[in-house]
Amino acid sequence: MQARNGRLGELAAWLLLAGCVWLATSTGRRATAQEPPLLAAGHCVACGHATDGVATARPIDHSGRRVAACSDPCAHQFAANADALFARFEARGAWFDENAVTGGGAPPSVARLLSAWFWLGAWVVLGLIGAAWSAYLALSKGLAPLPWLLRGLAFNLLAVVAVALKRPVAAAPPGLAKIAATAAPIDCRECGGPNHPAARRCVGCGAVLTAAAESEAQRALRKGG
Amino acid sequence: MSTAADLAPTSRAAAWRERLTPRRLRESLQAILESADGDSRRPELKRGNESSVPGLHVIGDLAGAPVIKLAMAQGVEVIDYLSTLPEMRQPASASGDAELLDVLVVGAGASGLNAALAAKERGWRCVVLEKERIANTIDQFPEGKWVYAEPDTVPAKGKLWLDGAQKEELVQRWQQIVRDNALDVRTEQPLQRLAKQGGVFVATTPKGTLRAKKVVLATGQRGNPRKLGVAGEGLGHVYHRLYSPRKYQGERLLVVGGGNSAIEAALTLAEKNQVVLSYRGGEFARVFKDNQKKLDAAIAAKRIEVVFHSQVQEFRPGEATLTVDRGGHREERVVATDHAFVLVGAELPVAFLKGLGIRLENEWEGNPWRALALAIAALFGCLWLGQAFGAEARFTWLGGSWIAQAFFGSDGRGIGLGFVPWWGGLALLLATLALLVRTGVKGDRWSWLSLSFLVWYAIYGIKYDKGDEFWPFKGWGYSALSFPFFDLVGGKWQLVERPWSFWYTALYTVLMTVFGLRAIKRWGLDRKDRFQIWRYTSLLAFQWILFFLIPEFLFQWAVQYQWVGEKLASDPTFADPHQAWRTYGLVYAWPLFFYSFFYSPHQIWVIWGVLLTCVVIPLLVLFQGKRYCSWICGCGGLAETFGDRWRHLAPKGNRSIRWEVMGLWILIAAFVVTLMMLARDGFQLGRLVIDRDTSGFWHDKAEFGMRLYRVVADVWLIGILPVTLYPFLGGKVWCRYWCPLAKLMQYVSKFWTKLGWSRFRIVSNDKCIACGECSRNCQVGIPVMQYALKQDVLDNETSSCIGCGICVTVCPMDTLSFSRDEHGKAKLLPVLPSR
Repeated sequence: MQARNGRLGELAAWLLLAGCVWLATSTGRRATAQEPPLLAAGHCVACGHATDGVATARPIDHSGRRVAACSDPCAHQFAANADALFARFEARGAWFDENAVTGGGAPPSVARLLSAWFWLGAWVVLGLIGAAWSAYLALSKGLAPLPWLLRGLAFNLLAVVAVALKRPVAAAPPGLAKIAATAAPIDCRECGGPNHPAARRCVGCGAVLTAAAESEAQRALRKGG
Repeated sequence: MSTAADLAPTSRAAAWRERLTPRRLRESLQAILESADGDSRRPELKRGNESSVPGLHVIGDLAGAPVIKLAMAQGVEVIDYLSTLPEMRQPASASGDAELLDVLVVGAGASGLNAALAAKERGWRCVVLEKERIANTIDQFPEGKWVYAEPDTVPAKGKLWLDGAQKEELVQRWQQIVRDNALDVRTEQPLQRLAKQGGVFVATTPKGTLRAKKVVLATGQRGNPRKLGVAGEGLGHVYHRLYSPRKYQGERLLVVGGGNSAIEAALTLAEKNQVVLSYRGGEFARVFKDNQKKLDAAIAAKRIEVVFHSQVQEFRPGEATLTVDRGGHREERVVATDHAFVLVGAELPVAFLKGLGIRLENEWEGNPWRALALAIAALFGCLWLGQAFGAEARFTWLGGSWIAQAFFGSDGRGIGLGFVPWWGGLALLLATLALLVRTGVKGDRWSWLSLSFLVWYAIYGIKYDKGDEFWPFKGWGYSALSFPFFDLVGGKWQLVERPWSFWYTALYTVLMTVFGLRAIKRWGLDRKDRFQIWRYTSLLAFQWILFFLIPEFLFQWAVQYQWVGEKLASDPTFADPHQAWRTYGLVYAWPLFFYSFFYSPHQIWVIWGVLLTCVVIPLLVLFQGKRYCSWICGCGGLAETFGDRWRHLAPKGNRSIRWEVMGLWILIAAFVVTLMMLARDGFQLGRLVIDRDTSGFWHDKAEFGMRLYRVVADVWLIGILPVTLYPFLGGKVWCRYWCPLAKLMQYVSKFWTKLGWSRFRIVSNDKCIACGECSRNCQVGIPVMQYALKQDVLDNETSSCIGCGICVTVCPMDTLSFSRDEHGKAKLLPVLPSR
């Protein structure tokens, strides 16, 4: 079940990220509707008054969008300062619920982060997923995980591919399970009590046991010999 | 003549006055702050296991090594660490001082001996002091006891031998290793005093003094049995350990205790003796399942008599007096006793450690009133400092409702304080902060608490609202912290003012990322747990995607480029410039985030909000329990990352679990506020029901309720208090005690579990060694070890587990697991092939 959860988790994370990246890369795909959508419907772009039912109201197209001006003076006012006025109606990020004040006497503009910050964020997310995936694969193959985590952070998918091509040096159970640090106890045939897998005699009743695993000392002797 | 009725109010008032005395207040507060302590208290340690005394390092059982092999490893690691220090590069033998030691090791147990062997290997002068004999704790195990060499796959470090063996063989081998390596082990020489003179430690023993550059303390705590402190405990027939059960036959024995040692002793002794087992509790909560079964059988066979709710009052030759609590009624009982065994565990040798000057974890020394006074002075400093930002220095508590002032920062005329210039305020602020740091460094934990409060009170109090910041930041705090930031404006790089809310979220995300990577290393890489790697990655990815990429960019672009469709992009209800914050509702469900339903939302937010709370969350809970808290949530994310290093300080014990009821109160409050706000928004309801326009009535009440909830829950309970308490009560104070969504999920999960449908549980095999690491590291204070010992299933019917899996990760014996076999039983981990 853990293995399935792990795969689902990975899949969900990748889908989420792929969706974000797809949306971001499609910024050039503006709508090509015949009639540009009306921004701030029902309100004048310059003075903010209602335009519904106002005889002098007229639409103005700007940057592929349509706004409404309630009168000629408002239309002229918009033409003179179109970007700043138009920007007031643009959606803005959740961190900025107010207009930014720019230095150097520049006009007020919408407080929006440069889209480069988006790419930085996407790169961080990609790096995190690449790092986790690389470290996961490294652990599963018995490799040192920390270098692969760092490589994954820096090179994300490249690191994942690199570690995936490595030959495993030790076996590990699949999925998200912790790699066991101990072996399971064995039950004594005489008394049923649990014993260390390397035990040759039952701790409870003293019956002779067949060791199910080598102890560290035996391994050391074997390596030394 | 006074009657009882006349006297009652007076005595009640007196009782309240007594409760509100400074001493009682301090005791009450300290009891809450010390609620993490239990059996797992340890010395406060830094890098290289260095204690609060520079140059004095603590290893082994005292430093929390749960098994012999890991204690041995600490012995080698501490010497490795010491060898990297500049002052240790030149050995003592080259100093010309014939008596100076490089390292003095105190304690000849697994860690101490291994440290001494490692030091010897480096050519250092080293002496081991031992108050009794080599491997004293192991040597005092019952005859023939098997000593495990777990964890199997971790190679033993150092020159000391370790394998699964009977204790006699182990001790014999260690003695041989000491002889072969010519280690200078001085047995029966306890350390009496340790002082530092001219940068060198001077250790005093009954047989003289020793001088050493560094001291490694490896005394352990199991050799320090806990005592009852009753009359007659020092008599010859009262023991604190059972060495040779075969010595006793046909005698009347009293065993005191309720742990595994006491029960195993009682079971062994009951084979040939008449045994009474006295325990102060009403049930054996911390015993192995197997021991419980054997004990039940022995009780049924009348081989053991158990006296619950009993405490020894006195030991006398041939008998002991017990006080037995029978439902509030106490009675004395005399038990015939030829020998008594008091087996109530071991305890930290606090007096010994304090005598050496070592500070313990979570030690609330110092002066709380001084820390409080300094915090208030710092806030006044801020008040005067505000004049530099155009604020009017005014003490307004006396000018209106103090609650309003404290919570809302609302206007009220008070006493003008402008006679102190702004730089005077800055000087006062800096001076008080410096004093807090100074007293904190000297060991006053209250000073650190005060400092932490000041930092987070400022951060959240200022973020509350521009122009309505908390006192004393009102009217200037938000602007003062709205630092400029370089960004591209009109094709030019310019300094652009960014609001404090921007910096707060940036700080939050950066803290989570940095400490999240640290946590991935700590739990995922170092402990080879792939579950933890993905869990922390999930928390970080949710934070970056759902709280940065989507609300800052993708929502704007979705409107601007009409990814959401032309109709929605042109609908001001959805695409208004100030609507991006609603995207937080994509992942935050009611009642943690109920703004999806208020302030004229587009219906898409309402539909998603209802779907999330009523369908998505219950389904998630069905399959994953409360893992929303440990895999997704941003609040839990900060606690799991930034708060990770203090996770062992989470409140423990039954009393701390009872406090969790507070979450229900918040849930009810959230429900009431939601209803009121919905009634306000749909004020037609008043007309429909009572044929009267009640919009004004509902508006005022709902606004007040919302404002109160926002300040109490969204600022104080989710922000200021829990984050202030991270270093003192662990990171999960909000999530465990106050989060209404966590409480709601708890009830849903309990419901699924009762139905038998829940897929979430933690199970145990029979390998628990009662080291307590699982309980110590549980951020929500669950006594995991009690479940593991009894092999009980840990689920959301009996606990508020959030499925973080740290208990599984930290277990040195691989006892706990999320796995199940086809019968729903604990799946033992496979025997690994030898390498």
